[in-house]
Amino acid sequence: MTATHKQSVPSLRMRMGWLHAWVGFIAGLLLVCIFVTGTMSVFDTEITHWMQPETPSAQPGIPSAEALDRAAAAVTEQEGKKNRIFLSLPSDRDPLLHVTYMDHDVFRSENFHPQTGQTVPLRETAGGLFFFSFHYTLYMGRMFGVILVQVLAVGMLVTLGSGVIIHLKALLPNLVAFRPQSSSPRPWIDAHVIAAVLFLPFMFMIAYTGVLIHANRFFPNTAIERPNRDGPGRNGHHHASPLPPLAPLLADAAETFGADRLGFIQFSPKTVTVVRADNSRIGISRDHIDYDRTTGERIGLVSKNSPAARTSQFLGGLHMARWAPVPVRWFYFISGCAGYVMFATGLVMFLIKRRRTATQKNSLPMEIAEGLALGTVLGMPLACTGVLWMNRLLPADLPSRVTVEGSTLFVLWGALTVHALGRAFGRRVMKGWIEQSSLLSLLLCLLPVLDLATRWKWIAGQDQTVYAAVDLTSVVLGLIALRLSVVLRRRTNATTSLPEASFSKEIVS
Amino acid sequence: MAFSSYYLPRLLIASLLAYPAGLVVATFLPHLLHMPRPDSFFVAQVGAVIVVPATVLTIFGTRSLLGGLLAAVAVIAATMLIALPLAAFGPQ
Amino acid sequence: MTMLTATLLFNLVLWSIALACHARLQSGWQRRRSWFPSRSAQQSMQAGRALLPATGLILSILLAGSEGVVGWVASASLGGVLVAVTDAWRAPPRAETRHPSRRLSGQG
Repeated sequence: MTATHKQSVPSLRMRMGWLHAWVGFIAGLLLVCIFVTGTMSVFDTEITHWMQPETPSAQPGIPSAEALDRAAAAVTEQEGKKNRIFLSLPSDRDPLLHVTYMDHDVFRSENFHPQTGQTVPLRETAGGLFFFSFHYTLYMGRMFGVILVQVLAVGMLVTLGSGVIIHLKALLPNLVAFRPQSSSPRPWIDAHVIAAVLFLPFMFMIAYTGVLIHANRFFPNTAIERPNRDGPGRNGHHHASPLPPLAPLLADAAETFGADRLGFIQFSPKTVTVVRADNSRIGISRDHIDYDRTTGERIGLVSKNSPAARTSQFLGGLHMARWAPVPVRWFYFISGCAGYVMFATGLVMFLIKRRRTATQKNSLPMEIAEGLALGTVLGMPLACTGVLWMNRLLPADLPSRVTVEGSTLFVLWGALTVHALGRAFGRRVMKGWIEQSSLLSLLLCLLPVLDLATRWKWIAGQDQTVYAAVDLTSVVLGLIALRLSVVLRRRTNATTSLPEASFSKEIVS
Repeated sequence: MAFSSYYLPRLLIASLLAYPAGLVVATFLPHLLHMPRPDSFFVAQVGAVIVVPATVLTIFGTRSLLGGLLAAVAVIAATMLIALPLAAFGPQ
Repeated sequence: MTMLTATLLFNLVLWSIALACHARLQSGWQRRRSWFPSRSAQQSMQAGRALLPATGLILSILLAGSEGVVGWVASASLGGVLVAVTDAWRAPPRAETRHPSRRLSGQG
């Protein structure tokens, strides 16, 4: 290599800086959305609970024989005509008994009180599972969507790796340095670095395990064909024998797994399978006991205990956080928020830097980038909040509730992105940031009011914990959004005298 | 920092090589391991998922392309060495 | 309160103290504040930032196993945010020259 060539090659830090900026920006536009919905998915069961305000109080534990008989009757009724049926057992997070089945690609449930066995009529809702599905498929299908999310997660790993290299010198000295009063872009950089560096183990873990969970789609040559447990009767062609009484099966399984460690029951033409709950330990082991469907006799315990299987279960469980008790779940939630902050501040800094260095100040790509950044950073949380609002505003007995709730996310997200692009093309993108952050704070801060107003008739005798937690979190996030809008408004007012007030000029001032 | 003639081709080369590198690990590692297929596939996935971003970073991070390719091969070998003990011990 | 929750809270406290010590040992932090630690204080802070998390890790493993280790790592992140936000809120940056007698030995 000649000396001239060596000089023309940018330094390692510059190369990594370019990689960090461009891969981070392009992947970050969608990773922001994945982080928002993933953070919500940490409390997916609780969000579903919030979205079904009729849910009565119930004590978790092994359901009564009467409740199990009624659930078994519902299972029998659905068998033969539906694809998959399983019976979710009560847990601390969800105290009801659910017979869940697939109806034209939509999960539907019949709900039973675990003690009395009475049917609990709950409104149909997209629930927390909707955010969970979006988180790992972007609603683009379980093959293409998952692979796209995996590619983005690999982009995140590249961004994290390059970020560590470019910040290596200042990594430890500036570990907890946050200087919000300094001149811009220092506060943005500090927020970005704090969110990324302090939560670096979480970020690496979540991106890596996220790809690994569905690695058989990313590397299809490692996919294993699953045995068809249902046999020939899977699509209803086989006449399944009547179910044995479920209460003795559960009592037997409880002796092996523990009474509070029973997850769900699966049914096949020959067996009834009781699966261990995912909250037993970090690894999602899916240990299960098979029982003969005709006699109810125990066939055996199936457990994968090889070191590799345990590692796989451990890494999957670490990502899913199903093992986590409430305090740890909050840590996951806060770490998810940090991921959002990291990407949001990263996108903003990218735009600031491009604005400063661009030869043409108002080029079309720049305006599109500014519009898309706003449409995802604030548009996605707004759209998610919109789903919660729609859930409570729609009539409870509307037949197409699930579809309308789900569509709300995409319609709102699209509308907000169009709004953001409009503001960017009109060179008033900062106004767009202020408008969307103000709207977000309004919707979040008023969510408790909406909750109380639409839950009033069931409120007596309900356990308020979940509702209070969702409402309080909403208010806290709303106040943060309000603070953001106030800060942005103040800075915009200070720079209105500047000609051609652009995003960077407004935000840098 | 604009799109220079250096960065974009290098990123394209790195991206085009990264996935095949992972695929090679995912394909050949299971053949080296004497363990049940699901387990060997998992160990291969553990290595392959690390290899993809590591290859991009390595090829992009080195000054010369040849050096990058050699370093990427070293990274793949190192990854396999790290991934194998994971299968042997695992969290107990 | 479960053992895991207890270790989480305990680790949060330990990490917060350790990271607060770490922040105060940085010359950048000291340039912006009027409080300068003495040499013995610096030495105890240096010991604290290493020993406190190590103690937390050992206790986490003993009391809560692998879940405890996950909690230990998570506490570090949250503890760091608490220290950063508290520092930013308590003492806004001040442009002040560093006291000549309080230079950190490691930074020459």
